[in-house]
Amino acid sequence: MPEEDLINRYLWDGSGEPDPEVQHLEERLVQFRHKGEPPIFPAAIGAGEKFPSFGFLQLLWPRRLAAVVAIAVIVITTSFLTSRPAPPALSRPGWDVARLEGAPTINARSIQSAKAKLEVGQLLVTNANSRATITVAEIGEIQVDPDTRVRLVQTMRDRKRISLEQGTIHAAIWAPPGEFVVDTPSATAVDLGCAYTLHVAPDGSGLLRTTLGWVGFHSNGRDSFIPAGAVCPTHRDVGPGTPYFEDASESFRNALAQLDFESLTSESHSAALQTVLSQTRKDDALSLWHLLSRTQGADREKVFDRFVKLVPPPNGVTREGILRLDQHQLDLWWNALGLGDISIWRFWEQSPDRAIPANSQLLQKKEAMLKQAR
Amino acid sequence: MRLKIAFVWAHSSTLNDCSGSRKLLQTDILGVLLTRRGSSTSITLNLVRERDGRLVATPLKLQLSLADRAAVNPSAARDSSDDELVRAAQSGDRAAFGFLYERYARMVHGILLGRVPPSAVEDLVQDVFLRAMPRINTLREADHFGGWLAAIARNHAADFFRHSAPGTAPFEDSEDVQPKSKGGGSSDQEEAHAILGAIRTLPEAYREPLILRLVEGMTGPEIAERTGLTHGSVRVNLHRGMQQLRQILSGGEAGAKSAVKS
Repeated sequence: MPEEDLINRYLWDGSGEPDPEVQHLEERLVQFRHKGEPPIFPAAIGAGEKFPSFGFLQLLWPRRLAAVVAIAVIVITTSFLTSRPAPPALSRPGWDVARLEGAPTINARSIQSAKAKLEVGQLLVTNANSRATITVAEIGEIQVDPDTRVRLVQTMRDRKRISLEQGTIHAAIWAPPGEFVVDTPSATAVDLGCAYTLHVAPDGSGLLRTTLGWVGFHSNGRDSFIPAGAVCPTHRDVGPGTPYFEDASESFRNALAQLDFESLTSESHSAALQTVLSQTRKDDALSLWHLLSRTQGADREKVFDRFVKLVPPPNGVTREGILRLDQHQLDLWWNALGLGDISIWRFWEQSPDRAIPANSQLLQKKEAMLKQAR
Repeated sequence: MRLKIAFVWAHSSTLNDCSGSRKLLQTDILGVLLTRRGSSTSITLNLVRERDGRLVATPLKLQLSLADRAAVNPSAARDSSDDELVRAAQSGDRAAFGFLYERYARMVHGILLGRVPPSAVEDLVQDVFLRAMPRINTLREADHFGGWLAAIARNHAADFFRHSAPGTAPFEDSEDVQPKSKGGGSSDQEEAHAILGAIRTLPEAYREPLILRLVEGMTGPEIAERTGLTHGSVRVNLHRGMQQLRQILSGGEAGAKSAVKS
């Protein structure tokens, strides 16, 4: 027998019957295993160019570099402490506001100049004759229509939040998804990479209309996703309704509104659902996907039967799974609509501070979560 | 490969680097629509702007670097072949070198652990990669990266002793790598150091695969793939190395000497 065949399978690739002796050695030696962090590689240079020599880094890294940095910090700190001027007055974080028309106010003070600052906690109000534009840090712009009340709630590096108490805003956001959030009295709008208009009526109900990209609308565990060309109403005490494309038939839209916000008898509920199902076009699969989790029993089966004719279920999606509202399967089917990747939303939903960090950790978390879901 | 506009937004430097359109994005462009279908190396965006009261879209094709692809789909980028990663690194892609680090750090660590005191190994692993990075353009055969990097690691271990105090020897300067008998009531910690010390007395051909298998947790096929050795030689060396290690650990010093001589 060749010598190379004598090796036991466990020593070779960890398979087969575990060899107690090898296992013991592994357990003892694991403490020496590599666990260091990668070094900070020098910044990439232009494509096709050769890397410069980083010999000096090799000399410095890492202990000598640490010593040099420590000395530099001491020198800089010392010089700073001995020569610094009186500290300037603290400035609260805020966003620039430009007056477009009339006399908008910030905390009841009229904006006199062309530009002003909306600080965290402050309220911007426009009356029937005034309009304004807010520059959202460096990630977007909000146009504030007449008769609107907007409060800046939070502005941090990866989290921006306003509260739209009443009125209409048009937001164009180029931030990472989940970074820009708008609270309304009946739901929270989460930007997922888009432009949209959000209206809040005096009674707290609202309407979100997406122009580009898509938006998540969320309240009390009820989520709606609104892609470009679609709208979603929201009511106080109910939350976001079922989104639909604006070119859907009127009877379809009315029936959805009944299902979402009205107290119906079982007969009228069935009639409304029947109307929705009979009027559904291929594009209206958007609405049906939402109805899957908003109906029960036989109604859900009817929605499924209609939906499956419009959008073939991708691999991994089964009737049984959808009927029991398996979230992974629902997500797979949503993604098959081609309207946006729902995993972005799931991250936002699951992150403790409801923010998606714009760094590679997001991607790692996403991968981990998807693996877990599989 | 499904490309996500959200991640493109999240890494807007992509746009800036590829097209210089960042300024355009923040002034004239209302938004960007992503063409859903794309190849693995390019992405087509539709820049949307308002013209005469209507929204119009202008397609813009961007080539994606490996770093961009990592931003969009990290597992796909991470799973790229050595050849692809090496070529990307040679063209200045730092992310690609980062993936190579992830893939080869254990190998480098294992090689060094067989040669230098354990307390110095982690620092030297970083040194090896920092030494390799600027030289990667000298590597002609991308699929020889593992062997090339292993050679740098071995040379670096030799340099370590050249630059160390005179008289410093690989296995005599550190108490914690002296081979000791398994018995004698020593603690787990002591036993671990004794086992490592015993492995380090083995010939290099056995020492490296044994450390990579028992310490770094690599499988035989993985060792062969990373180091560029054949499966057969790794199997033989693991087998012989394990035999000798057993003799050392069961026979103490005498066993060690006789095992190494054999």
